[in-house]
Amino acid sequence: MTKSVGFLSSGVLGSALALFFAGLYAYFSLEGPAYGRWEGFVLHSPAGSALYLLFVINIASRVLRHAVGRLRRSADMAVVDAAFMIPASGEGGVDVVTRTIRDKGFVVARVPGGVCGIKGRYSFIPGLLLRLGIALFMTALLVSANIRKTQEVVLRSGSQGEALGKSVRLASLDAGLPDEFLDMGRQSTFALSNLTARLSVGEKEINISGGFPSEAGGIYFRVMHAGLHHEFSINNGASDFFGVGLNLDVLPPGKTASVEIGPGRTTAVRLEPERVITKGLLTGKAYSLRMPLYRLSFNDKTETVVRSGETSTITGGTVSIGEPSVFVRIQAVRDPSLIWIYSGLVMAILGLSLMPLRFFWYEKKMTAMFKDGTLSIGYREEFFKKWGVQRFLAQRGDFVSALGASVNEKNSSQDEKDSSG
Amino acid sequence: MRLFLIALREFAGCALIVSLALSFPEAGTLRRHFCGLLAGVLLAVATGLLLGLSSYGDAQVLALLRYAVEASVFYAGFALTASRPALSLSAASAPSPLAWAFFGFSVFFFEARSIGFLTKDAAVQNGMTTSALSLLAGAIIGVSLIYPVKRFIGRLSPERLMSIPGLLILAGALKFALGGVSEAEEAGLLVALQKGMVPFLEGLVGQVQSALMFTDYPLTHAPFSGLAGFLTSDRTAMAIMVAFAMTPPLFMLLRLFAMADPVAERSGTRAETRLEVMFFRKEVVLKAIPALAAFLAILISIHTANLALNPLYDPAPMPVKAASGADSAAGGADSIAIPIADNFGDLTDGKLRKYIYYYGDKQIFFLAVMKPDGTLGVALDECEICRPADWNKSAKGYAQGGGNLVCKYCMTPIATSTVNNPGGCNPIPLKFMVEGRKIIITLEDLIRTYKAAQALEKKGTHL
Repeated sequence: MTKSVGFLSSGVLGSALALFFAGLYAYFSLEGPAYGRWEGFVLHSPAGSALYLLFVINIASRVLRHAVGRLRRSADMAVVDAAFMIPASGEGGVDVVTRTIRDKGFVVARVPGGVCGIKGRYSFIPGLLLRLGIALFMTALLVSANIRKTQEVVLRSGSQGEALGKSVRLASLDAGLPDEFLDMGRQSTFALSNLTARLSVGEKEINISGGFPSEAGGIYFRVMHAGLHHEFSINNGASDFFGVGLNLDVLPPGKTASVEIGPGRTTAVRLEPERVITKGLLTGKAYSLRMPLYRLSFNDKTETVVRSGETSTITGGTVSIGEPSVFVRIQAVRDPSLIWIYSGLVMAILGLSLMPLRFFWYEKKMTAMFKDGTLSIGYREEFFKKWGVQRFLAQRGDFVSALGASVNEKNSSQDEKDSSG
Repeated sequence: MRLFLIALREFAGCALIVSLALSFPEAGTLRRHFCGLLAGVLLAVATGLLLGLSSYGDAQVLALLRYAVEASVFYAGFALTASRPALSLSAASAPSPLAWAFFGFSVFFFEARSIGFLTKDAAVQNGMTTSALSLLAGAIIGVSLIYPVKRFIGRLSPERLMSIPGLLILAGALKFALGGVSEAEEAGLLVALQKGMVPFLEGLVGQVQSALMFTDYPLTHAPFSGLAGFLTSDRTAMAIMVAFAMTPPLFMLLRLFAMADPVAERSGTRAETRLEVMFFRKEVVLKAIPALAAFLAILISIHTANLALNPLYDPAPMPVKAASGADSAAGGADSIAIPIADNFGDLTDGKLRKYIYYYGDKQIFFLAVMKPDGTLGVALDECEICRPADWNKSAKGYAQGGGNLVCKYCMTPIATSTVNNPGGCNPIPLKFMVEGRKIIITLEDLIRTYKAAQALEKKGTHL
C-alpha cells in the first residue's frame, strides 16, 4: 500500500506523464494544428482520460503527502542541514533547551528523546492551495468536457423559448445601443458592454449579461450576441403581399446578413452609413442605430437603400422595414461541474497570490536530542539554507551558556541545601 | 567550397562539444569510457551520412527527434542536479560507456544526416566525387579541432571544472546555439518552441475560457478577456521559452552558491579556517563555470531566436517615374504620383512602403508610412546622423519593427508619429502633398532634398 502511494505521488511519475503529454502534442503538431486532436485524446478518449486522471492524482497526492509530513512533529536528526553536540545531561537540560529554543521564536513540543521547535509550520498552505486548486480545476475540466450540455436560444424582449428542456422568457432587455455609432479604421470597436436582460426560467427570474454567467434551475445563461429585428413587408402588387419578422445579424455595423424576405427571394442586408468622414488616410462611417438605414442587395443584382419605418421601391414592388427592436442570442449551459471549475480556479489563484510570502514564510526546524550525556542540536531550513546554517552555528554559544548557567544554578542550590543541612 | 565550409562549421561545433566531454577525467583517460564515446560518434556519423545521402526519413519527424534529444541532454543535467539533496564538490562516479556512446551519438547524428542530405543535393551539380571530397575535407578539419580544444581545456584543471550535470547542461546549451544545419532544416529548438507555444496557449486559454463560459464574442467581451489576450501573446510564449532555457543553469548556479561554507567545528587556527573556506569557495566558482558558460550560450540563442521570430520588415523599394509637366498633378511641375491604394497594397494598413527614383546614374530611395493619427509620413530613406560605409549598404535606411521605424544602422526605434519631423534619428523629411488618393512629390523637391542630404554626408556629419 505504502509503495503504491509512494509511486502514485512520486515526482518521476508526474514528470513522465507531463513529458508524455508534451511529446504527444509535438507528435500531433507534425500533421497541422494539434490542439484539437490533442485535447480530444486527453479529455475524451478512455486512455487519455485515465492518464490525465493519474496525473491529477499524482499532483494531489504529492502535495497532500508533503502537507501531512509537515504537520507531523518528528525529530529526525538524519535530515538536518547542520548540527553540533554539547555535553549535557537530560535532567533539567531538557527544560533549559526548551526555554532557549522557545526564546528564539520557535514553537516547541516534546518528542521522544528530546524537543522539536518549528517556525513557519503552516507555511506549506500557499503551495497546498495552489496545487490542490489546480487538481480540482483539472478534474472538474475533465468531467465538464464529457457531460456539459450547451444550447443557444434567440429571444427578443417579451418572447419565449426553450433552453435545455426549460421554458425561458425574456422579460426585459436593455441593449445599451447608442443612437449613433462612428466606426473608424479597419477594425470595428463596436461592443455592447452595457447589455443587460431579465430572463425568466420557470418561476425564477435572473439578470443576464455578456459578462459573468447567471444560474437558474441548474442552467447557466450568458448573452453571446445581439442583433436587430425588423418586420419586413414586401408588396409585389395588390394581391401579392408578404410579411415576415426577421432577425438581422448586422452587428457590428458593416457585417452582412443573408435573409429570405419572400419565397425564393434572398437578400443580403447590411447597415448603410449615414455619412462618411475622412481624416487623413482614415475613413470613418457613422451609423444610425435608432432608426437604422439598410442597404438591401437582391439576387437579381439590384440594390436599394431603405430606412427602418419607411418604404422603398424594388423590382416589381416595394419593401417596407418596421421599427427596430433588439434580439439576443443566449448561451445556455447545463454543467454540474462548472461550480467546481470556478472553485478550483479561485483556490489556485488564492494560492498563487500567497506564494510571494514564501520568500519570508518558510519552515525552520530546530531539534534537540539527548543521548548518553550528549545534547545534539540540529537545524534545518526549507530555503536559504546557507544563511540559515551560518546563523544557527553562531547560536552555539547561546546553548552552551544556557546549559552552563543551568549547571551553576543547580550546583548553587545543592550547595545551599548542603550548608543548611 | 560551400559544402566544405558547411561541413567544417558543423563538425567543428560538434567537435567542440565532444572535446568538453573528453576533458571529463574518466572519458579522457579510461579506455572503455573513451571507446564508448568514440563508438557513439562514429556510429552517428556513419548512420547520419547514410540516412542523409539516401534522403531517408521525414524531415519534420527528424527535426522533432533532434529537438527531443537536445532537450533531453539539457534537462538530464537539470534532473541530476535536482535529484541530489545538495551538490557535491567531490567527483561523482562517471557514467557507463553506453551512456558516453549515447552522448557522442546525440551530438553528431543529426548534423551528419543534414550534411549527407546537402552532399546529395550538391552532387547533382558538382558530381558525387567532388561533393564527397569537400565533405570529407571539411569533416576531417572540423573534427580535428577536438585535440587542440581538449589540450586547452586540459590546462584549466578540468577535473575541478567539470561535473556530469555541468557537462550535460553546457552540451545542451551549445546544441541549442549551434545545433541544426540552417541550410538544410528549420530553425533551432528555441524558435520551434516559441512558434509552437503560441497556438498551444491559444488553444489552452480558449478551452479554459470556454469551460468558464468566458468565451470572447465580437459584441460581448468576456471578463478577463484582456488577461486571456496577454496569456496568448508572443510575449508570454517568449517568457515560457526563456524560463525553459534558463531554468537548468540558473538552478545549478543557485545550488552551488547556496552551499554552506565548511562547518565551524574546527580544531585549526582562524587562519587555517579562513584558508579552508577560501579554497572551498574557489572550488564552487570553478564548478559554476560550465553553468555560467551555458547561461551565456543560451542568452545568445534567445537573442538569435528573438531576431528570427521578430524580423524587421524591410520591403523592397518600388520603382517610380515622374510624370512630365503636362500630365503631372502638381500644377505643371514634374512630379511623382504614388497611389495611396493600388494593386501593390494600401498605405492605410500602416505598413512601410519604399520607393526608388532613378536620377541619372543615382538612386534616390524614399519611404511612405501611415502615422497613428491617420496622416502620412513621407521622407528620404536616409538618416541625417547614421551614414554607413559604402560596403555596408544593407545597413542604410530604415525598416519597420512593431509600430516603429528602426534605423538599420544603429537599430534605434523611431516612433512613426515623428516622421516628417526633421532632426535626430528621424528620416530626412520630404515635402509632399496629398491630392485625391495620391501622394504628390515634385521632382524639384525630391532632388533638392536628396542633394542636401548628399552634401551633409560630404561634410562628414555622420558617425
